[in-house]
Amino acid sequence: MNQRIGYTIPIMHGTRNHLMEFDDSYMRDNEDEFVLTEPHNNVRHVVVDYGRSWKATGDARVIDPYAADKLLGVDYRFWNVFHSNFYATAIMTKPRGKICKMQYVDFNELEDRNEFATAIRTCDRFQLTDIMSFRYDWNREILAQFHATYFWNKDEDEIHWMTDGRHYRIDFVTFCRILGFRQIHRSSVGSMMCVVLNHMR
Amino acid sequence: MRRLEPHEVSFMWEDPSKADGRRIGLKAIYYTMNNLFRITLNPKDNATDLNGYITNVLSRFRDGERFNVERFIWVELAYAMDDGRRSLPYAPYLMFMIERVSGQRFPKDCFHGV
Repeated sequence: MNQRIGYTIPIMHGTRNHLMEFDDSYMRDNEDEFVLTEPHNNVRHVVVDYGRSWKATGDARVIDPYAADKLLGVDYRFWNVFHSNFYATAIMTKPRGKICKMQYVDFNELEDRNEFATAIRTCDRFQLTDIMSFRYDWNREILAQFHATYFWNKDEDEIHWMTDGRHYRIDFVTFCRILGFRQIHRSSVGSMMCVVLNHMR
Repeated sequence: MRRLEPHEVSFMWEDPSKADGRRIGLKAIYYTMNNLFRITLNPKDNATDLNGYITNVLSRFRDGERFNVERFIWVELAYAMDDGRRSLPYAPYLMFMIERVSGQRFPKDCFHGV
């Protein structure tokens, strides 16, 4: 069954900085519980430990999983066996998930310290202040699903992933706009974000 | 894009003859910027030294040449994803993007601290 749901925004010059100001009236709260959970597969498959190998992961990431139909019998969160294996062996093995430590920068606090004056000016000059001071909490399981199901389509310059059983994609230009980068280093200015494809659950 | 070797950007160290890719010995501005980047734009599992393309980024500051930070994030994410041993970078940015694209706000269980 194919569906097109989700949200689409036309992206063009003058689009507001989504990090700092955006109309979120279209968004809704999902109050389901999202915690790291072992995959439940009803399909026989070989278990590959991707948590110990860069080559196996790199080889698997080259293949577009979404070019084929979703594999029946694999956990609803994943498209194929690689996703399930990666989640089970590279992510579930870390009790707190597999996420880099991230912090935001409180530039207001740094302004009071002389040793940071040059750094603050530099960040401002390079238009990095918004992104570096942006603060946003996250959900470990939602990001684990992203981590497992990520695919970079280099030809289209867009990334694909799954969230709660649905397949999404975003192109580079839209990604830039969402993160608040106004000056896009690419000729294309027209773009659309988000299409949910081939939802099967 | 090629990663710049320390000797190619030796001006970033107090003593250019000791440019070795380590943070120790960096001029104050590069040291500070690297520290700020390590927790924001260039997170790594083990970031004791100048990893990946960060030398390319830091070296731009001298001449005020704008670098493509959005492409930097996009590509650094791809590199991390290609290695099953590495952790996922950019958690807050990705969470924000996922919610904006899906139109859903999910419950949060990790705190983004300062």
